[in-house]
Parts: sequence; structure tokens; C-alpha cells
Amino acid sequence: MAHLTPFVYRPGSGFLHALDPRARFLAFALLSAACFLLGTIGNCLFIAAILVLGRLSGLSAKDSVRGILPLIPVIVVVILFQGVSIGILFCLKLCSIALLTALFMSTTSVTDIRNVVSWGSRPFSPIRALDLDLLVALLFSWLPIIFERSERVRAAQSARCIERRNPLRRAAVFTRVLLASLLRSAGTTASALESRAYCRDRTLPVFTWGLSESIALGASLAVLSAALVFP
Amino acid sequence: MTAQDTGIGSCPAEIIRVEDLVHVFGNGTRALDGVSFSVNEGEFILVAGRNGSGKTVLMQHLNGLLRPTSGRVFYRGVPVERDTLAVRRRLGLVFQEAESQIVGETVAADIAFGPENLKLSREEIAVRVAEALGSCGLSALADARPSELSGGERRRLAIAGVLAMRAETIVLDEPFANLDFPSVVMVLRELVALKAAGKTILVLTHEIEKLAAHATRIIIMSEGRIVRDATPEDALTEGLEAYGLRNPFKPRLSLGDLSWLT
Ligand SMILES: Nc1ncnc2c1ncn2[C@@H]1O[C@H](COP(=O)(O)OP(=O)(O)O)[C@@H](O)[C@H]1O
Ligand SMILES: [Mg+2]
Repeated sequence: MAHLTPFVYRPGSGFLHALDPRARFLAFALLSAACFLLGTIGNCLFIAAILVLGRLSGLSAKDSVRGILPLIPVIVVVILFQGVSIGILFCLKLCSIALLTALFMSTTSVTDIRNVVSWGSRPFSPIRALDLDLLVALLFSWLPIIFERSERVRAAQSARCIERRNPLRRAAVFTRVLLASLLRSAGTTASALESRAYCRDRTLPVFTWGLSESIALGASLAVLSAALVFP
Repeated sequence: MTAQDTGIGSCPAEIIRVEDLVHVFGNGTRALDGVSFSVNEGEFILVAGRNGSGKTVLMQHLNGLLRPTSGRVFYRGVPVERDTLAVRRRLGLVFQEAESQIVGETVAADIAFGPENLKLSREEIAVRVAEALGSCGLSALADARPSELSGGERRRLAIAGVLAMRAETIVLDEPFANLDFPSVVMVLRELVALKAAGKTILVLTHEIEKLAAHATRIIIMSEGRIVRDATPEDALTEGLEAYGLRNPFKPRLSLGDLSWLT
């Protein structure tokens, strides 16, 4: 289910995928800021640009647009209460942000996030940095396990007709069983990490900042400046 | 003194030695009760025993995850607790619960985790990951999310993670648990290939029949002790039922003989 949303990483070999993740993070931050500043026409151009970028990096426009669909109720409410002109601008900004985020998320893997976290926290404490990035990675790889487990525990409890009981008690039993199962697995994960010779002195991620990274950053800066000058 | 006496040349090198190992848990459970054995290079040992006989606890002592209540464990003659990291780089464990030993976001990233801990170069890591993917039949799934894999694929991923570290000894806990027939065959093929490649292998399982034909030695555990330690021919004789194991040599000539209740 989760992998059907446009906000989930898709492996690919487009130019956005190949970009140094640090450049992608910076560009994302700059462009998000620009989104908030841009006016109606600016946002229309922005959306068009994002769709083209998505296309270039091998993502279908249909997928990108799907990211906007959940926003429709919000947009309707805003137009109803704020009037059409404010409503339309708000709606455009929301769409820009949603599309930009979808583009960023679908080209940025957890490994990228992990590498940037480890790079970003390196100056502060070289020892802590590696633990922090492992934490990020584990958190993400554990989410599916948590979902799967909750579903399994819920199914097992329904099979034993537990819903007839009082809901509070049911929630308590559910939580206890789920936590016990997750803690046991967390123990295995810790043992597995240790068994694979986990140590802090490990291979560091390599970053390659080249021409395309500089261009991406320069372009994002240009968009932000344009947004500042012609709002 | 001849070569025979000194052990040089004649015998293969001893890799693991466990001496009078006892493990008592905080709640008083005596999981291991005086276990002693040694493993030589190139052996393929099946460690069998009913649930709760102490197999998994024993495994966790081999790389220092657990510390003995008493007794000692040596790896290549060095006490495991002296340099656990060095032991873990040479002895790989594959846990029974495949899903919780996965630490990477994609199959390839997970396999790279071990080599990264060996501080290899990125190029070397890429080579090893590709190799491990190939030998475990996972090449097509390199970019897949581990949570999308089937049970058999997850198990092979766990094995690939150990292979990429080029461990010389591999210990697998219940590698056939929850696998269907084709997956069992694939894991088995992988184990036999590893044996042929000269790795030392220990498989802990109660499913003797799946491995007996390939093992060079069988160790049977019961209530935290070793009750048999012999070649497969000698180990799989009368009285296995007393240790909660089904003799794989039991004749199966008619449908009635297929019943596990007789
Ligand atoms: N963390 C623990 N705390 C207490 N007892 C444990 C723990 N882990 C295992 N045991 C007990 O140790 C014994 C051996 O367990 P184990 O090695 O897991 O058996 P198996 O042969 O099935 O792998 C069992 O009686 C089990 O209940
Ligand atoms: Mg076990």
C-alpha cells in the first residue's frame, strides 16, 4: 500500500536520482521557500517546471498529480471561506509544495537521508554521527515491520472474537501483545547489528559534488531570488 | 614427534572450541549445562535438538552476544571475549527471525551493511554486494524493499549479508523455518555450495531430515547438554525420540508410514 503513494522513494537512474543528496536537500529547502513567496503566475510556472523535472527523472505526471488528490477537500474549504482569489493562490501554493515534496521524496532514498544526516552531524561529533544515521535507517526499515505486526496481532485477536469485549480492554491487550512482539524483534535486530560486526569506524558515504550539483543549486537560488524580487 | 602428534599437516585447523559452557539466565533457566565440543575447518555440522534444547543460546555464545555463566569459548584459539569484533568479522550468524535482522532499506543496502563495518572501499563493497546477490539468486531484487520479499527471499538475503562479509564460518539458526519446498531446496543448495567453497558451517535445526545427507557430523542437544556427537551414520540410530527428534531413517513405504504420529 505504502509504495503506491507518490511520496515514497522509487529507485531510478534519472538525473535527480544521480544528484548528490546534499544538493537535492539544499535545492528542496530553497525551492520550498520560493513556493511560499511566489504569486499566482509564478506558482503556475513553478508547477509546470516541477512536472517537467519529474518527467525528466522518469516519474509519470499521473503519479505526481495523485499526490494532490488528498488536498482537494482542504482546497474546497479554503475557497469557500476565503473567497476565490485568495483560495486559488492558496490552492496553487499547496499544489506546488505537494508536487515538490513528492518529487523530492520519490528521488531520495532512506540511504540518502541517512548519508546526509551522517554528513550533517559529522562536524558536531564524529562518533555520534554514525549512531544517529543508523537510527534514521532503522526507524525507516522498522516502519513496515510495525505495520505488519499490528495487522497480524489485530487479525489474531479478531479471530478469537476479542472485539466483543470492552474496547478499552481490547486496546490494552492489543498494545501489550504488539509491544512484546516488537521488543522481542528489537532484541534480534540489536543482536543482528552486533553480529554483522557493527562498529563506528566504518565505510563513510561518498559524495560527489560536480557540475550538475552546482547547476541544481544555482538554479534553485535563482528561483528563490526571482520569487523575492517579483513576488 | 611426528606430524600426527603435533597436529600440523595431518588435521585441519580447529576453528571453534567450546569448553564446559554453562549459561544460566536471570530467571534461573539453565539453558546450557556443560557443553563441550570443537569444530574443525571445513566441517558441516548439524546441531539438532527439540525446541528449548539450547541451540539458539549456544549460537549466541559463539560470537560473544552472550557471556558464559561459566566455561569458555575460543575462536581460532583465542577466547571470544578478548576481541569479539574480530570474531564477528570471521563468523557470520543467520538468525531464525529473518525480518528483524534486516537493517537496510533496499536489498543491496542491507547486504552492504556488513562490508561497510569492515571499512572496505565503496568499490570493493559494490563488488561484494553484486557477488552475494548473484550467489543467492537475488540480483533481480537488488533495489527491492526487504519488506516486500517472500520468506524464502528474506532468508536468502540474510545469508547474502553474511556472504558479503566473506565470513569463513557461518552459523544458521533454523534456516528452514516457515519455508515452502522450493525455498528449502534453494537454501539447501546454497549451503551445499558454501560447503564446497570450503566454508565451515553449523546449522542449528530440529529438521534433521533436510540436512542429514549433507552434514559431515551431527551434534544432538537435549536440555542444554550434548547427548550425541558423531558422524551422521552413527548419530542417527535408535533412541532419537527420547531427545524429541524423529529418526529420518524411519521406513516410509506405505501411506500409513507417512504419519508423524507413529
Ligand atoms: N532470554 C531468555 N531468558 C530466559 N530464558 C531463556 C531466554 N532465552 C532462552 N531461554 C530458555 O533457554 C532454553 C534454551 O532456549 P533456546 O536456545 O532458544 O532453545 P532452541 O534449542 O529451541 O533454540 C529454553 O528453555 C528457553 O526457554
Ligand atoms: Mg532456537
